[in-house]
Amino acid sequence: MSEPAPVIEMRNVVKRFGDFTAIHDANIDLRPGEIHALVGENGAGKSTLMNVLYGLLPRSGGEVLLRGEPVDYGSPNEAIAAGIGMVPQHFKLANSFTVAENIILGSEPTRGFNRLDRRRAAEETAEISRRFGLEVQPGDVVGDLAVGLRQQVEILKTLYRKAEVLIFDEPTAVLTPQETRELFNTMRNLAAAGNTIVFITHKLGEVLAVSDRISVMKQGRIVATLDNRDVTAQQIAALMVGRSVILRVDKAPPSELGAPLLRIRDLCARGERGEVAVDNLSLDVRAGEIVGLAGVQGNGQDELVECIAGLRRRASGDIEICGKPTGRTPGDNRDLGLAYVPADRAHVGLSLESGLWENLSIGHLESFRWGPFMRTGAARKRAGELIERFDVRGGEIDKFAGSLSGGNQQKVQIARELTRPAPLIIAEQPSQGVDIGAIESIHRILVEMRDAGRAVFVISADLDEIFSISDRILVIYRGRIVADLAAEDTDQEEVGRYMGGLEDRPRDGASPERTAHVG
Amino acid sequence: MSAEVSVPPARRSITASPIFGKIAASLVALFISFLLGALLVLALGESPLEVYGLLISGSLVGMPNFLVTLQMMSPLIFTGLAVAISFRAGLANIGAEGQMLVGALCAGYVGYAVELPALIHLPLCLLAAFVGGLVWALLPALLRVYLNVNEIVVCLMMNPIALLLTGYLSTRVLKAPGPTNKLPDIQPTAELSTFSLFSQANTGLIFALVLCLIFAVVNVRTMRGFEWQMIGKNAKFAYYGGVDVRRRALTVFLVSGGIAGLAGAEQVLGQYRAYYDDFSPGYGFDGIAVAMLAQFNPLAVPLAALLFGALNGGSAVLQMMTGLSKHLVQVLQFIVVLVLAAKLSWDWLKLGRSQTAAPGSDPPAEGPHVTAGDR
Amino acid sequence: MLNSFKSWIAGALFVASAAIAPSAQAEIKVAMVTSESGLGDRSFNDMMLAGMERAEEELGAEFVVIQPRAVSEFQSTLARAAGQDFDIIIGSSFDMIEPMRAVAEAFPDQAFGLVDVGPEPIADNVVSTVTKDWEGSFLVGWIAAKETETGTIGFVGGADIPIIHRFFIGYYYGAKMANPDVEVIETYTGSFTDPAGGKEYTLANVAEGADINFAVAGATSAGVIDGAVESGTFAIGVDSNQNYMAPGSVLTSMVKRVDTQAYDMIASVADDSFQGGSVLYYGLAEDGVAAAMDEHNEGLIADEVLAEVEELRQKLLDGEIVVPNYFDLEAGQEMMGEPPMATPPSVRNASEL
Repeated sequence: MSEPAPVIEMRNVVKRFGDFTAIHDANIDLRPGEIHALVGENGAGKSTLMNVLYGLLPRSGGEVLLRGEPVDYGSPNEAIAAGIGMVPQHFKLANSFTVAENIILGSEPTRGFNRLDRRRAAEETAEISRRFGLEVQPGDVVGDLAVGLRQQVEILKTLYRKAEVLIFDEPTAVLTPQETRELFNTMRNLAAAGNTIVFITHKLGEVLAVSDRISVMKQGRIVATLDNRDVTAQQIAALMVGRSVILRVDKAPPSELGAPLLRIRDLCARGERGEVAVDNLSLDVRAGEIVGLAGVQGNGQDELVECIAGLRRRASGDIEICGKPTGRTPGDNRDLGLAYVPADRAHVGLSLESGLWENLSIGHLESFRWGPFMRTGAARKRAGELIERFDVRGGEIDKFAGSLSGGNQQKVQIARELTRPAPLIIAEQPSQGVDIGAIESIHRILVEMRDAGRAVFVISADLDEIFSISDRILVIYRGRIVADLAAEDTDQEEVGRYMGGLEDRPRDGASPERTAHVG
Repeated sequence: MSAEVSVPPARRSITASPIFGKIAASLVALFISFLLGALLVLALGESPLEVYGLLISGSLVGMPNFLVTLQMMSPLIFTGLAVAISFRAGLANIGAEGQMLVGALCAGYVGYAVELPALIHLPLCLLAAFVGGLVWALLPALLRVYLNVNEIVVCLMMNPIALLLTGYLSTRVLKAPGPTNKLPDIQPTAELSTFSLFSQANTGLIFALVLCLIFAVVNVRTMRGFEWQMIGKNAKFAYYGGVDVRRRALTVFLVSGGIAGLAGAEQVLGQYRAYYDDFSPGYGFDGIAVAMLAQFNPLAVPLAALLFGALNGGSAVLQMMTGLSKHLVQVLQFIVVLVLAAKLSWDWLKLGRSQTAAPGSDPPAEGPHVTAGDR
Repeated sequence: MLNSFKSWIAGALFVASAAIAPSAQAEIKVAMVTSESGLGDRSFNDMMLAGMERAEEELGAEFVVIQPRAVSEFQSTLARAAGQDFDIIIGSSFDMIEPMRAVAEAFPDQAFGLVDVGPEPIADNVVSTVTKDWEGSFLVGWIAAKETETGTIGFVGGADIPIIHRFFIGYYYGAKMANPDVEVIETYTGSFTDPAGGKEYTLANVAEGADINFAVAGATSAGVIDGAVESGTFAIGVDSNQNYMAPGSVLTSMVKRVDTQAYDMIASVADDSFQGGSVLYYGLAEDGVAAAMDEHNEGLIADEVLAEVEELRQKLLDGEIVVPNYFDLEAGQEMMGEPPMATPPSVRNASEL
């Protein structure tokens, strides 16, 4: 392949925040018609670099060339005008508006007297949609659309503004495997039409599946730009973390299973808007096994976990922890033998504005009781020990939890929860926002817990994670368990189909992908 | 744990806040306030140096002046402490004014209507005041804790109700004969003794300081204090962690109300020697400012109260010596409150934004991007 | 003990004094200590201020106003003012009696004044005044009887107690003197803080024919004025000038001239006639009470009626008229005052007062 002239060149770009340098001398070329993956751990600087390109952040040094001309965007509007578009991770759509209205919002077509030209908006939307093989209808209300389709609306929005460089920020985080495949098809179509796609992710399987070239970022530097043909996932991973990592946890097959420590029968629960979120759900998790609950976010797993933890009232049904019915409060359930690592670290699992020792002490308070007094010295000492044992980086006992990175926050939660003498462990999205090295050690701890005879229930939106550690995989779809599979007898395709609902028509013509198994 | 993974640097938005930072924050707020106040004094055609000099000498220099300052600060310690412990637990008890009035009435009633030896009578009056304040805090506390009704709104409504209720009782039902709307004088056995002709400062001040000490210990050395703070920092986290959030919150609110009631006892038993209708020029509201300035730390409350007390105490001297109005001092106090409020809402905004930038269901954004990128 | 305090305060204030170096001329220096409601109350404090301003203008006095925020601050404020070299410290309000007594006894060389309080002397160095409110009531009763068109006037008291009866007796006596045939309706609302009740009683009086009602009822008076507005009749305010509260509907107000009282105290210091320990009575003759006339009630009272007020004053001064004081009456007494006139039924038919 001859190398076409790059549409965008970033030369020695530097970005500093105060005395902290987030981007060191980054160099990257983006060519027309390519899908360029930007990979790296959380905190490596991927989003920061792209935010500089998109005009969200002013750069501190270096230059950006657009078709050979130096440019300097003060705001995203200028970047958009120059043909750069961003598909954000968190959609910025008005749910009560139609697709067409959302797409034209901010650059409305008008006819005489500045009146909104709805018909033209709808026609143009439909036309772009057709051209790139997207499924959304201009008249659909965004709030009614599935997540994958909302993402298409975001894509259409950038295309409507004549973007030629599209930045996708972690686009697959919220998608089912099927939706992910469709997204990849869309990306290929866009690239084939001459657009440039930047694909920010940390999922190596996806990188290999779709990208033409791969730039790896580590600690604010672009450490390599590689052709997809030449690399393996291990090589990329090694570049990302500086060493080889094993993405599958080594574990012995489960030993003898014990009694069910979590037993749920006919559970029903309602969500925030009063909708039925958990619908007659039953499941067991036994001592000595790791059960993974797979499912696309929003299918009732949050409500299910909150019911188990005691954070949500159930509508009906029974939950037993270690053979006893659950109580009314999280405190009751903890006393029954529950350790719970919540997904929502910022609001539930941690107090970001409190010191680490305080975060590590809650749930263990009784062990520091001395009459009405609290042995704070003992609590602080224990916190120091846990920080060391669980390798919480940058951890000082008085430091605020909010000052830690996501991975280290997760370690704080895990240190606190897994040191409780609790037979039942519920880990919700344990590797969310956690870098690869930490994921590995978190998974290893969970396996150790299983081997020690505890029951481990892992809820994750990440199939790699589910497959990496589960002995048994449950799939939740619309509040029900739709599959109960032994991990060794199934694969991601099968689980993915269950996640998308078995009733869905099989998607013919989708090309088989390299699945994300590595190692 | 053997993962050798580099960790991105700490986010800058939320830094571990040592005590020096907090003190500095309050001092900066004060400095800005006094600077603004100086501009105001200049605009009035007076010399800021002279005015501040008079306020300082008239409040702190010389025993009589200092005693007046002690008198002025006494109720503010109680109300400031009451507000501080509720805010620390995330509850905005701004009903200290009403709770103080009710507590004062209870103390005033028990003070005159009961005859007992001093050893029992005085504690009984204090208890009555505590219970009175507590009862007045009950409604906002229950509504807040069990029905999640905004306590600020309820407290704001309870304050005038307290004023009208105590007004009704002290002018109609329990009024002492004579032209003044007050209850009969309390028995000598219920009095908190004063020290000097120049001031109504009384032993209630010592009681207030001891209370501050007690709550400083409660806050940092007891289970309850720890749980209260966790509720204040993140109630959902505390609940998740096994804290009985409702009961603890209810306790804090009621204790806060009780302490505000004790402010009333100090006034009635120490300063007035009878319940006077509508006696308070707003000690309960000043308590909010005191608590804010003290950053809700019980040990800092007396210092903050000293500042406000000194401003009030120096006010009379300023009026005597210059003919300036008492309103100048009030405006100076309001400026302090405004600056503090601005600082608090600024912190709150920053906190709110950094939390929305890292919603729980999604990975926190990378490194410093969280604060710097979210403009 | 006290002396040491005094030296303390002197030392403290020396620091302050040095900073501003007040002019040390032989002017009279006055400190006015307001009640807790402070300046701007459109009542005693503002009226006292007017007296200060008059003293400044006519006597060359220099004054400062000190405004305590609460009753509990009275004593410390007075004490600290006593440590200054003010020639006289003047206060008002019943709540200041005890603080001023305590401070005056501690500073026997300092002159104090307290306006509009009771008849008991406060201390050897305090001059206090009693306002003869019965003479003021007499005056407005006289005006009301002259101005009524129905021949019936009303009285709305806050409570059925002797101190309020004293207003009624004066009012009744003045009304009967002006017009022996006038009807006077005597009512009490039972509260000083109940405007709604004041309005009801007023409307009831109006229904019985009263077209002028004298409100002696504290905050309840606002309801009396309201009732007057609603029924198109007149009210008469009390204590301070309340004409502004409903221009055109308040015929006049029986004001206690605390400004005169304060001014006279300053004047007595100026000419060395200050008599500590004395209690001065201020009636119509001494300009201690008046019927307030201002832009809010302009034209409501006929000029010839106003012209006769001066004659009344003179007669009071000469002793030709003596307005009866309720506290001097006895139950069942038939006649009262000079010239003698019949007592109202509430006295004549009473078994005890």
